[in-house]
Formats: sequence, structure tokens, C-alpha cells
Amino acid sequence: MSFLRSVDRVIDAALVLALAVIVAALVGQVALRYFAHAPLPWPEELCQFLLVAISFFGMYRAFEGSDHISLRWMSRKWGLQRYLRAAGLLCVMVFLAYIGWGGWNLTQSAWHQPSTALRLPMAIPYLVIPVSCVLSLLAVGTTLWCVLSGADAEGPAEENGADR
Amino acid sequence: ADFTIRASHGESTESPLHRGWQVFEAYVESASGGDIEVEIAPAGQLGSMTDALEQAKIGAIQMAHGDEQVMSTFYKPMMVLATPYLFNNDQEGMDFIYSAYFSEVREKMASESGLRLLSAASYGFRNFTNNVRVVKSAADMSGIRMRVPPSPMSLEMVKAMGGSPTPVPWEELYGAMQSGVVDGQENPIGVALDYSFYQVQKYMTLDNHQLGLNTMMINEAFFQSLTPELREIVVTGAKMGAATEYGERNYQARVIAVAKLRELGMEVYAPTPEEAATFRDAVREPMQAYLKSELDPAFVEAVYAEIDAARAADRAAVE
Amino acid sequence: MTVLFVIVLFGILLAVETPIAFAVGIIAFAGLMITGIGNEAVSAQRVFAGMNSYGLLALPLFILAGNLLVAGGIIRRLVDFVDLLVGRVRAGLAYVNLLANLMMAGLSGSATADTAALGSVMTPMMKQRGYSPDFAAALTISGAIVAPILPPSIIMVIYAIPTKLSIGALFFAGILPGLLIVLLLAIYVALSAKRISPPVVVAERQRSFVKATLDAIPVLLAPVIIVGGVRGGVVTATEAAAVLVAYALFLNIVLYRSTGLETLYTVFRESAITTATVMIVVGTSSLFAWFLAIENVPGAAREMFAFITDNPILFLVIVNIFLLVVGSFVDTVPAILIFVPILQPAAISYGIDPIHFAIVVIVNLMVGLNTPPVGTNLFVISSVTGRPIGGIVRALLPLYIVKLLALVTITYVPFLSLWLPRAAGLLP
Ligand code: NA
Ligand code: NA
Repeated sequence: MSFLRSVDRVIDAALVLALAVIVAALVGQVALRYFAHAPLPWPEELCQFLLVAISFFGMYRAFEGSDHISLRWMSRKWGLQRYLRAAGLLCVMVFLAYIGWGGWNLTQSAWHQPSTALRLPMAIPYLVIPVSCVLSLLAVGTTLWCVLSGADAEGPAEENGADR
Repeated sequence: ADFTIRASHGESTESPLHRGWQVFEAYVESASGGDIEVEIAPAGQLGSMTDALEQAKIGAIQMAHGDEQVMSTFYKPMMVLATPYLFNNDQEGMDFIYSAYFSEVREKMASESGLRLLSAASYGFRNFTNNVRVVKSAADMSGIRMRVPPSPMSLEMVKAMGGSPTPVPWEELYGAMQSGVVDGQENPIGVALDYSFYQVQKYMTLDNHQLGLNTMMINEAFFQSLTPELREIVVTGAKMGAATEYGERNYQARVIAVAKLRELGMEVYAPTPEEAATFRDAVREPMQAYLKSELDPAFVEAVYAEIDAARAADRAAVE
Repeated sequence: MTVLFVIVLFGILLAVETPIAFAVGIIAFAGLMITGIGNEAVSAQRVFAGMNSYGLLALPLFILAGNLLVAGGIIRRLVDFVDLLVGRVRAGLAYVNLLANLMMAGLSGSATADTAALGSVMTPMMKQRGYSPDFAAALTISGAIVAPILPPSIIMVIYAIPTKLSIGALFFAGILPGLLIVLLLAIYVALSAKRISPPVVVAERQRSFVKATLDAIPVLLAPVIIVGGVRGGVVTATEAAAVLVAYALFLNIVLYRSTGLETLYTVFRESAITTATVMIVVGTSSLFAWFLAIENVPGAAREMFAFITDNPILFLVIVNIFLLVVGSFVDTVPAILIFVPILQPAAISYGIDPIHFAIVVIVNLMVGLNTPPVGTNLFVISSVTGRPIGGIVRALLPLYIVKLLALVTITYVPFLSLWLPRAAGLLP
């Protein structure tokens, strides 16, 4: 558990850093082109890959904070809602497993497939998919456990809101 | 139908490319007596060119549209096709694709990458347009901020001529030319018309630097699962499709587009043979060096030798 | 058959509170399973490729810039400034609300962000000066719908992806329609001033006009940077977003000195996670769009419309009604990503300009943001003000009519959307 906590801290720092790099790279590109007339060929692609990484790892962090956009209308006091929500979460887990598995296969087949500008094997950006899906599966699994055991009766949003 | 070919390409249903694929569909479905059904998803509905090729490679679909640049993502030696001034004209380029020598390269690509190159249609040479001056020879490129796609070869080419290569994403190219972020760009003639570049570009030079090739690619495992009779039908259909696309596009670009661009106020300049040679000479050394650093030098030599031999044979036939 | 099953499954998933991003992904997954098309690798690729787009880079940047400006306390500065301008006339604070919304729209790309930010400042202020809090809430979210219609706009960035439209042209196309909406709302305020305004208006704060103006000028420069930078050829539309972030950082750290490192870290982290929650919808919608394309649903829809009518005006009426219903149930981003690839080819076949059509779609969905049962901004303002949704909706009723009037005008007067981008040379 405390291991996962430190993983989270590292991921948060990486998210912040990635966003900062995007800003710096694009502003730097403007400066290079406008003042030095010598823009670089790779910042756009680097930024795109960083954005995808932010999206996948942010997806994992958003599960923990219940930040994903969803309808919330069922009273948490209602008995049946637990099982209904659990069924939905189970579907999410199946989907994450499927995408994670597909991402792993993509990674395996793309070691010799270079990206356009950075000439990076596409396997590296694709690797983000399986890793983030495994982490997300852990997060959704935990939520599922909380829902079924009734531990989230107060609503997950408030609970996690405190430590942010 | 025993087999379904789901195919993806990136152009509109009005494009010559789509007409070519329609000919492929019509021929394959009828010649196979309905054993093969073809379903074409046009206009990049299934994803970008690279994405769709990857889908064909992993077998999610059976066929996809490739070009002279993107194919090298899946099989590196294909990079050679995008070399500036490699071919003198469209016909030479397409003949080379079907030549005995290059057929071996295509077979190797099929077994190593899982994608088989069935046919190729020229979509015309890429040409420079700009807003600074009429570019008549390589020296005129000096100081022009030329937008290039983020490919090392295009960057090298413009640099070798003394221009300043400036990568701008395709989506923002029009705006970048209009506002002066870049002075020029290079694309096949039709692009300048289709995307209204003539509104923001004054001069075009028909320097014919890079031959554009649209290719039909098929999943190799699927291809091998067909009977030899059906394989033959697919190969023939693909060549018919490519011929249709090339014919339509060649007429539109050569006859219609240039006249239209002139009418719309663009100054279109065709360099003399001497002027054309300055472009070729400026880039030959750096290009060869670059190719040899990326690919097997023997392969690069062989490609140049093959093309020279074919050129000599063509010349001999008329002398 | 498959399509019908997919729609029913989507409804069930939403009802059991499955996050929308995953509901979209699961129905695509189910559809592919049933039809036996595709595999796990292509599914992962579609989600990845949907996000891997240069234009989408503007998304985290606009979100970050908006959050930075809020963290730097610029809302207060803006409201103080417009209060000094128009606060003293009858129903003055209602105009202040609209004007502040208009200025925020020039800075931020998200109606929901503006609702949260302005709602927390404007509604207590209006309540304090005797306005009905429900009216204050209703007016705030009505004004906030112009945020993504006026540039910069996160919604337009997302719209440009599947349609390959120019973001610059979309930005310019939104300016007149956005101003029209604010103008119509202001006319409504003027006509009903007697009813909505408290009898006595007391100007509470005696601030120096000069100081408030000086305070506001650096903030008001931000939209100038975006539009000027793009038009002047210094930056592309996406880079303008990055420059806006840099400018916001400059305001927060150097000029106002309002934000410490710890706050900055939090703002960056929150922006990254907000980005991810939107991007994951973009990714799964791209998988869903792949399923639709393989099933040729856009083609079938085009044929269906052609069968129903060959009249573009009637087509637009159908689209208006359809999107108002969709907007009432589905959030804006998935609505655009799912339905625009189906509707736009049909619109083009009726000879409707795709840029004009984009504005129609966006305005339509923005009206839907304020309608129950699923009205994101309604939920946000309700939680910010602590007022029940029923009361706010009652106060919204006349405002709905105003917004529908704006929608009809924007739909049937293409000139409003097309004149500016043409004048700016962004459209042929
Ligand atoms: Na805006
Ligand atoms: Na709604």
C-alpha cells in the first residue's frame, strides 16, 4: 500500500513535469523560429507523446480521485445501487484489461517501427498503455471492493478531496 | 463470400485514389465470382495512414493505403523511394516498383514486416512554392523558410540547397504561410489547388524533387491464406486500381491544375534542364551520404545502378 | 441491430454511474465483439491514436492557462473593473455578470471552468445586493455558455480533430455568434430590469477607478495575445496557447506575485488530471468512431437524411432538435466526437459550410449544458451556490427562450459565423 503511495507521488511529479515540458518546448520552438530562424523538427512529436502519457497516467490518477466524468444520481443509502455500480465497474475492468493487453501486443510489434520525427521506436510510447492500464485495474479493483463492502457510503469524492 | 477485404485509405470519395480503389473492388469481386468481398472505408475514417497500415499489419483490417514516405516506418529500405531527384519522371518510378530487382525487395518487406506492396500509383512530384522570389535554380532557395514534413531527408534536402527548413504541422500549414511563419512549402501540384495554397503563395517551381507514390498494401498472412488463383486476382486488381488512379490524377495535375493555378494568379515556373541540374547537383552528395548511413550501402548503390541501367535501356530503345 | 444494442447498453452503463469515457469504450468493445471485427491491438491503437494529435495539445494548455488565471485571483480583478464600468445603472450587477462572463470567455476555453470561477464570485455578490440567488445562478451559467464559442475554446480544439477543420477559422467564426448571445442576454436584462433588479442599488466599494483599470489591463491583454499572435504570424494557434500559459505564469509569479510554488504544483497537477479526464473520452470515442466507420454508420445516416429531406433548412431543424436532446443527456465532448463524424458529411452534402455547421453544433450543445437531466453547468452552479437545481431551472426558463432565439439566428444566418473568418482570410 505504501509502495503504491510512493508510485502515486512519482506519477504526480511526472505529470507536472510533462506538462511543464510541453509548455517549455512549444514556447522554446516559437523563440527558436522567430528569433533564430532555426526551429527543431521534434518538439511537436515529443509534446504529442507527452500529452498521451499525461492522458493515460492521469486516467489512473483520476480513478483514485473519482475525477472521471460520470452521472451521479443514486442515493448511497439505497441497497441495490452497490451492485449496480459494481457491475459497471466490472465492465470498466474488462475494458481496461482488453486495452492493456492490446497495448502490450502493440508494444511487442513496434520495436522496429520508428516514430516520424524523434525516430523513437513506437514501442516506447505504446508501453504507456499496458502500464497505465495495470495501475488503473488496481485502482478500479480497490474502488470495486469499497463499493461492495459499503466502505464508500459517504461518497468517494469527499473522501479523496481532503488529501489534495 | 469466403473472404472479406476491409480496406482503408485517406482520401475523399471524389478523389482519383478512391476511383482506383473502386476499380480494385469491382474487378476483385467479379473476377473472384464473389469469393472475395471488398469493403472500402475512405477519407481516413479508420485512422491516419500510419494507423491504418498498422491495423493491416496486425490483421485488424486486410488492406491499407501507403505512400513513399510512410512505408519506411514498417520496412526501412523503402526509405530509398523518397530520395529527392531519384526518378526523372512518373513512369520511371512506377516501372522501378514493378522491376525484377525491386520485386525482391517487396518480397523481403512482405516476409519481414507482414505488409505486402501490391501496386503503386504516382500522385505527382513534390514541387516548391514560396512567397519570396521565383526560384529558378538551387541558389535562389537561399534564406527561404521552407516548410517540410518532419522527415530527415526533406530537412537535409532544403538545407543542402541553402534554404532554411522549417517543420510546421500539416494542420497549421495554411495559417503559417498566410501569416508568414514560413515562406514556402513543397507538395504535389494538386495540393496547392485542393487546399487553396494559391491564396497565400505567389511562386511555384516545377523542380520535381520527390516522386509521390500511393501504394496498395495487404496483410501478408491474409494474402497467403488465399488460393493462388485468388492471389492473382488481387494482384491484377491492385495494378488496375493503381493505373486508374494514376491516369485520373496525371490528367488533373498536368493539364488542369497548372492552368488553373496560373489563372488564379500563381506564377508557375518550369526550370530549364540546366537549372534543373543545379537542384539535383546540390543534393546528390548529402542524400547519398545520408542514405548510406541509414541503410546498407550496397543496397543504396544497387538501387542507383538499377535505375541508371533502366534509363540506359530506355534510351537505347529509341536510338 | 448491433447499433440498437449499443445504444441501449450505453444508457444502462450511464445509469449505473459508469464514467462516460469508459461507457463509450465498453460499447465500442461490445460492438466489435458482436460483429467479430477488430482485435485488442487495434482497440488499443485507436485509443492511443485518438489522443496522439498535434491539435489536441491546445487542450492541456488552455486548461492550464485558465487554472493559472483563476489561481492568480484575476476573477476578482475583472469583476471589480466591470463593476466600476456598469455597476451603477439599474440591474447593473446583472450587466456586470454578463460582461465579466464575456471577458472570461476571451481568456478561458471552458464553460464549466467559467461557471465555477465566476459563480463563486458573482452569485454571492448579487445575493448581497438583493438579487434572487436563483436568478444570479441562472444568469451566470447562461452567460458562461459563450466561453467555448468565443476564442480560445477547448471544444473547438476537439471539434477540429475528426473534422480536420482549421482551428483558427473556427476561433474567428465563433466571435460574432458569441457576442450575439451576450447581446441578447443583455437585452433580456434591460427588458426585465424592473422585475429582476433590487429596488435600491448601493455601490459598496469605493475603489479608485484608475487603480482598478490598471489592475485589470494586464489581464485584458491576454486575449489580445492570442488573437494578435495568431493573426500576426508569430505563432500557430496551438503555440498561442503555450504563450498564453507563459503569460499567465508571468502574471502570477512576477507581476501579481500571487502564487507560490506549492500552489503552482497543485495547479499543474490538477490541470494534468482534468486534461486526462477529457483526453480519455477523446481516446475511447476514437475507438467508437472506428467501430461506426467499419459498420458504415455515417454513410447510412447520410442516406437516411437524404431520404427524409433534400431541404437544407429542414435538415438544420432536425439537427437542432436532435442536438438539443443529445445535449440534455450527453456531455459536450463525447457528443461532438460521436455525432459530428456522422452529421458533418450529411451537412456538407446539403451544401452547408462545415465551419458554420460547427458553430451551430457547438451553440446547440452549449444550450444543452444548462438543461436537465444531464447539465454539467447546472450541477456546478448548484454546488457552488448551494441552491437546489429545481429553483435554478425555474429562473432559467425565460433565459432558455433567449438562448433558443440566439440559436435560431445563428443557425439560419450563416453570415454571422462565416464573415469574420473570411474577412481574416482564414476561409476561401
Ligand atoms: Na473562450
Ligand atoms: Na444537459
